[in-house]
Amino acid sequence: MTSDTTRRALLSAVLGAGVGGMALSDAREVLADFAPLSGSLWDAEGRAIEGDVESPYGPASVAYDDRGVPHVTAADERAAYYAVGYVQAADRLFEMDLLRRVMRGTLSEVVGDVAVNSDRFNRQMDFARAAEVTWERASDGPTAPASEAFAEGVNAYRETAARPVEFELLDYDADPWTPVDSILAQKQISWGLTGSFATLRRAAVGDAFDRETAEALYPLPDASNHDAPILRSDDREPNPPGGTDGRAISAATGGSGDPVDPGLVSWLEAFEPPEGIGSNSWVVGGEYTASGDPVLANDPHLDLRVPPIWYEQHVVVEGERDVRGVTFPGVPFVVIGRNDAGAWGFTNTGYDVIDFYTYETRNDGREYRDGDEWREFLTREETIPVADGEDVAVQVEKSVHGAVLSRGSDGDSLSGTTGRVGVQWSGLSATRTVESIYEIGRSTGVDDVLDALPKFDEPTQNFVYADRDGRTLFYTTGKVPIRTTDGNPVAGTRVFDGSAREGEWEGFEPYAATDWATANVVPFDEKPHSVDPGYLATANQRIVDDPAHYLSEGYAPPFRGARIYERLDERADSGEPMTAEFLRDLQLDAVDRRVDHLEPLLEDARSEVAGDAREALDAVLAWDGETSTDRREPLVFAFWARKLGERVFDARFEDAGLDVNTPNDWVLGRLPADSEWFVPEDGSDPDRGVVAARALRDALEAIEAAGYETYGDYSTTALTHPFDQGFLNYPEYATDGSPTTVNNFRPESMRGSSWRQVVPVGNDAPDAAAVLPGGNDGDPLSANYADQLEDWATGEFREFSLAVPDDVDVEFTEGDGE
Amino acid sequence: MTDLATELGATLSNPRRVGLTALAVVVGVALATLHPLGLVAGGALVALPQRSLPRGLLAGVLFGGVVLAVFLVDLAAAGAAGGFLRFGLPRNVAIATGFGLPTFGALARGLR
Repeated sequence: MTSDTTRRALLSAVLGAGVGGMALSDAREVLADFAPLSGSLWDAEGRAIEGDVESPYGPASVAYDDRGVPHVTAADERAAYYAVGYVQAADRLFEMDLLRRVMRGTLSEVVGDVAVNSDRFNRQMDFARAAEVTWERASDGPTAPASEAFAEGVNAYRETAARPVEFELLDYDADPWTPVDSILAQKQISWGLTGSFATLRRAAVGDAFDRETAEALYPLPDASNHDAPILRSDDREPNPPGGTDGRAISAATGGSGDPVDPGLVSWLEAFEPPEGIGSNSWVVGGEYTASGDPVLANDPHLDLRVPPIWYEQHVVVEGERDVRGVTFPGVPFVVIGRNDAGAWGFTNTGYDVIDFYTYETRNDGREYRDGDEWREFLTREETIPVADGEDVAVQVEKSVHGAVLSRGSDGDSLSGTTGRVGVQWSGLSATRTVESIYEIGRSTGVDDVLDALPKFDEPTQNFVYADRDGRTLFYTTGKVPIRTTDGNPVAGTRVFDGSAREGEWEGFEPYAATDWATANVVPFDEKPHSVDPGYLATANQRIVDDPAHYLSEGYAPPFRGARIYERLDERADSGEPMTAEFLRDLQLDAVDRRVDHLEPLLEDARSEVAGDAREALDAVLAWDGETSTDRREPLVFAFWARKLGERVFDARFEDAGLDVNTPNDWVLGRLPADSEWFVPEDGSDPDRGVVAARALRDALEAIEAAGYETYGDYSTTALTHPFDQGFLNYPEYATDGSPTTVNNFRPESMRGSSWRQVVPVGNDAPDAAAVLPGGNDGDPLSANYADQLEDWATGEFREFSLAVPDDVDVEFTEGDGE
Repeated sequence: MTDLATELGATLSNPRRVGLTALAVVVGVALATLHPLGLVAGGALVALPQRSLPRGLLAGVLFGGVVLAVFLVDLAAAGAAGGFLRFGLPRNVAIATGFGLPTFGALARGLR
């Protein structure tokens, strides 16, 4: 009896403590998320979309193919985009919300203080206001009905379906989606492509060393230092007439006299496009192809992440539009892709659409001189809410030029001008890019596209296009300011004295609606372009020998561009037609011409090494540059090149108080053999061979420490979800390519081909192919979460046709959408 | 195996116990769809009709298996079973709680 009582008491205590512990401790949240049957993470049925959905815009249907690509069909455009909003939200709502939080500076509110710096910067730039004025301009334009229907579709899903996994884990709900949020998504990518702080970097390096050194390490582009332009001398219309001689303008460099705070530059570099953001594209006219129809290829090199940066969709509005391709989640319209008339793609131009200004100030920095007038900075204080932390105050300041940036903890009293800088960026004004994208999607050929492109105000891009009539086109997009000092055009390669009204952008209205017809920008006709080129390739390299205007203060190294032209030229010269298969193979080309560029340094190192190191060096010297996963030579070369850059630049930059991005391998390979930068670690006289040999030793040690045997051990996908949890990250695959091969892959930073498409543009467009680095559905429980990644890593493609699957998954029917 | 077969045989030889256990399974699964503690309650319900605490604990384990089977079928119907099986840590937590909580709840048999 006593033992029964004891047993019952003991069991009662255990059960009570266990249940109480589960109900009252942190275990409750774990169980609420993960418990089978009731765990919120498992509500796949609640997140799946199928069956009937009411739409205020009438009927539409969605058929998912086996890759999770939604094919949306409707008779009415708004009905179609309501459905597009619904499916984008179903597949990518968290990614959409994350993106707008980044741009609005509200990320810390859900992820904590790790995002405070990002929030401060994005609020200082006030991208949100720039998006608002862009929408105000667009709200009575042709894109507005579809944009509004899209937002309503997003909200219909958001309000009725189960929360995506990430919202469950963070335990918050997305706010209503608005058309301004869609514009923010577009602003984000524009900033990511053109928001460069190269001017500040060069200025800081010039302050630390001297101007000549800065220009040697970060060279301004001209034909002498970059021999593979996009527009070559035998292209049709390679150099549009008119304008001023851009070369003469670009020589006008020099500082404003105000030193630039290197700490500010270092802080800002975290928010500029990282190295590796670039792309490839080419268009081949029918005279070079087997079918007689043009072929277009494009692979934008952006962040590789989970889920992918792109979302693929196919939208058919009967009688009006049949467009398939990729867009950024949150943007209604296809950005890169094809329709029933043609195909198009983009790469970054490297055009300079951002300038920096310092000011003479007074009254504790609250006022600045603008010519003969004194003005107050427009200032407001904002609060950044921080999850599990104290709110952070940030001061948002603006001048006549645009944003004023500072790295101060709260933008408080800023003495002098070196700690803050005025920023003028084309994307701060109301732009019409969405309208242009909308029209390109509906275009019926080159002429329609030429009508749409002048409205592509930002970002500046190399646009390539081919249509079913056999026409081809290359045009650079975006508004490029003609900055003037005392009425004379000047280059944007230095920090301007804003008080002296240097580098003015006449007619530009930050955070308002610029009248682009009267603003002083490079005229559309005078931007580099080529109509009906035979074949033409872009890889972020220098665009043209003699631009009619100042365009850029730096392009990507020419390795990829030169290699693409090398292979296209070989094929054209052989007389063998360029098939889609050949052009897909070209996208996967992994030959690294950087080894040829750096070969003199390897040769110099040869006499300084012996034994295993000598064998490794000789193997690299005999190597053909093919960066394939089963080889060892690319592994040694990749590590050697990285260590060489560190040995040449890092210590001296550090000694000079510079924590900024160091020069690239193109610059490194162009330094004279007796350059003072090749100083051995013992401080002896410059000796390139010694430095290169020691870099080899560093490389071999690092390879051994990492346990790598072949390139594939190092060149491996490691795509991570923002939460960086193993169960949300993608599986890893070895893959060919390097940062300077056509098949662009950066294992150190996970950047590379974020989308590959090769589209023959005939009337039946056979053999069109594409692939995403991951999957189209952001739900980790979905079969389409990562189903394309292995194909991507191994160089496989899948169909990219305009066929619509027979089986409909979702029917949208007339209703109030409630 | 023999012990398991013996236990099952002993349970199934009593129609009333079988009925009560079946009812407990149905109610337990229903509770488990409502709240994680439903797994504990379900384990307790299926254990109570059993003849001893060890048999009750075994019933709790088996109930956990039933819950996970129903769970997988539910996921498969939503096209998410493959995703679940790839889902690493959350999958393991779900399986552990699927078996663990009902077994824990089955301790209630000891209160009889």
